[in-house]
Amino acid sequence: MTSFPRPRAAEQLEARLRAHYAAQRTDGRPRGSAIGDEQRLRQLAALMAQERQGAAATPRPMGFVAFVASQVRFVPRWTWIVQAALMALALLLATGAQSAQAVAMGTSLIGGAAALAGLPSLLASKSFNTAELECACYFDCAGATAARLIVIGCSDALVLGCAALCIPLLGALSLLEVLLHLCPPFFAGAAGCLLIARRARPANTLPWALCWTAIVLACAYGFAAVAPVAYEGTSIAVWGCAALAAALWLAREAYLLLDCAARGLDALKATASPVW
Amino acid sequence: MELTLDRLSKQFGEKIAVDRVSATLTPGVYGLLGANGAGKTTLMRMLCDVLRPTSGQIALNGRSVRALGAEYRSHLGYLPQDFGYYPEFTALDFMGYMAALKGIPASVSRRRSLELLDAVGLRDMAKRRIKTFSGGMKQRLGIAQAMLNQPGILVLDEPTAGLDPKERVRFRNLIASFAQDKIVVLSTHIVSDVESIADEVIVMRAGSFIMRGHPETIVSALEGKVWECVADAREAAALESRFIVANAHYTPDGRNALRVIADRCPTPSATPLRPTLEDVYLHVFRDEL
Repeated sequence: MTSFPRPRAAEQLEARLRAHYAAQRTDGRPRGSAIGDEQRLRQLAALMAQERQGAAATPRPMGFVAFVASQVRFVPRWTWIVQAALMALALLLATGAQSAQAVAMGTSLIGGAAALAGLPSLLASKSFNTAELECACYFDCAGATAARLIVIGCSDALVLGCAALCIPLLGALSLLEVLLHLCPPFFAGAAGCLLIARRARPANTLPWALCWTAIVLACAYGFAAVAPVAYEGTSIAVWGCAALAAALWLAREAYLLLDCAARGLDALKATASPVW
Repeated sequence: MELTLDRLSKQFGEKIAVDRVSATLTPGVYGLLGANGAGKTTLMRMLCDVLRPTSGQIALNGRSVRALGAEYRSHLGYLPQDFGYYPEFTALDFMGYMAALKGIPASVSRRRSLELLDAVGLRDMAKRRIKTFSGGMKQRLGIAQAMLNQPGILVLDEPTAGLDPKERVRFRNLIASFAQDKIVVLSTHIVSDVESIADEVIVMRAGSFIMRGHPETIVSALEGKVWECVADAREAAALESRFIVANAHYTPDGRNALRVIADRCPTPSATPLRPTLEDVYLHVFRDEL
């Protein structure tokens, strides 16, 4: 059965129904009482059955929100396990850490690790060579990548939000301190991972991403030694600028990743054997 | 429904993979034949909006597919030659994933997935992981996902690769029942598949269409040029060095029976044979063999 004739059949059905009832009103006959209308009613019933069949065979495509929601169940289970472990770590830091410095270091670790945990899911199309298949679908490769970014992004926001709520609530650090230890490593870590995802060979992506995350965390610890959060407003401004710069970089890398996916196999194959 | 290719070209650096191809495709089965490197896969990728043409355009019912975007892709079903999959997915998971990508609501996708898995003989494997599948089973899964959205345009790149003869017959029947009012484009090296189900055969070489028509029309071009020659070993070797030999086997008396493709009668005792599409393929691509 063809996918196309549904709108015209609906218009035909409406027109014939209108004509049928208009004819009844003109003749002054009560609805459904005339023998001569039987044939017309049978025709209408057949047309309605055809319309129902057509509607069943060609459902409207789902919207983007429904598509994003549908992607949740396709994220590997271990990603959710890692996210849950990070939330558990946040609780542990809030309740069991010996010093504010240990809490700060652990908070940075949560930010960096959250950025890394979702990377394999984002790269799945490239890693498993399904991009070609996905590019030819209604929601193409760009749609699939956008949906994964949203799902993983929301999940990361939940982890970071959990850390931002638990740690200050249980008195380990203030909310501002938690955010400034959490956000720069997350944004910088995620931005670098997305850059690596675009430029590296699929087999090399995870090792490079691990290296990058380690560098980000080392810088975060070093930064904390040079400009500790609690040391006057200047330190807060510096941390804030670092967080803002990292966030802008992340936004740019997310855009470039989507752009690469939208350009189809030309762009995806071009990055199959790049610099690294 | 009408799919129009207008001077379509694709260039990779210095190499021209598809060279100003023009055609109008209406509902029917089109078999795309060509040697490796002829441009078939590149053409199919452009048809499916996976690759952007360097020049030219593709139009569906007069509207550019670039402008149609997702609407065009909603009418597509595609099986690539190099079919990727997520190994941890079960067959049903994969069908559900592809159904979501094709915009099929969950209320419909499970039923349709099971129907298609049944049609390709994978119903019993629905809950098994794809990484445990044989090559033929993966190929059948690929064919099933291509049909999920009841596409008006079905593009299959080497769909029978890895299928045993029984599966290939099942595939041909599936395509024949499916292709009533659809455009089906399939490329294959297995000439017999194209011969039996294609309404039109397109022969491609060096990025261009060099021959196009009904299989019988194309085959008739080789009428009077296919011969059977029975010869001893030395004569057989000489014939093989001078002509295209499509097939060779031994006769009961130990001599060589050769199926030879030649413009003129190769030996005085040669008998003419009815040509097949495979003969046409060997004749056209003789320089590349």
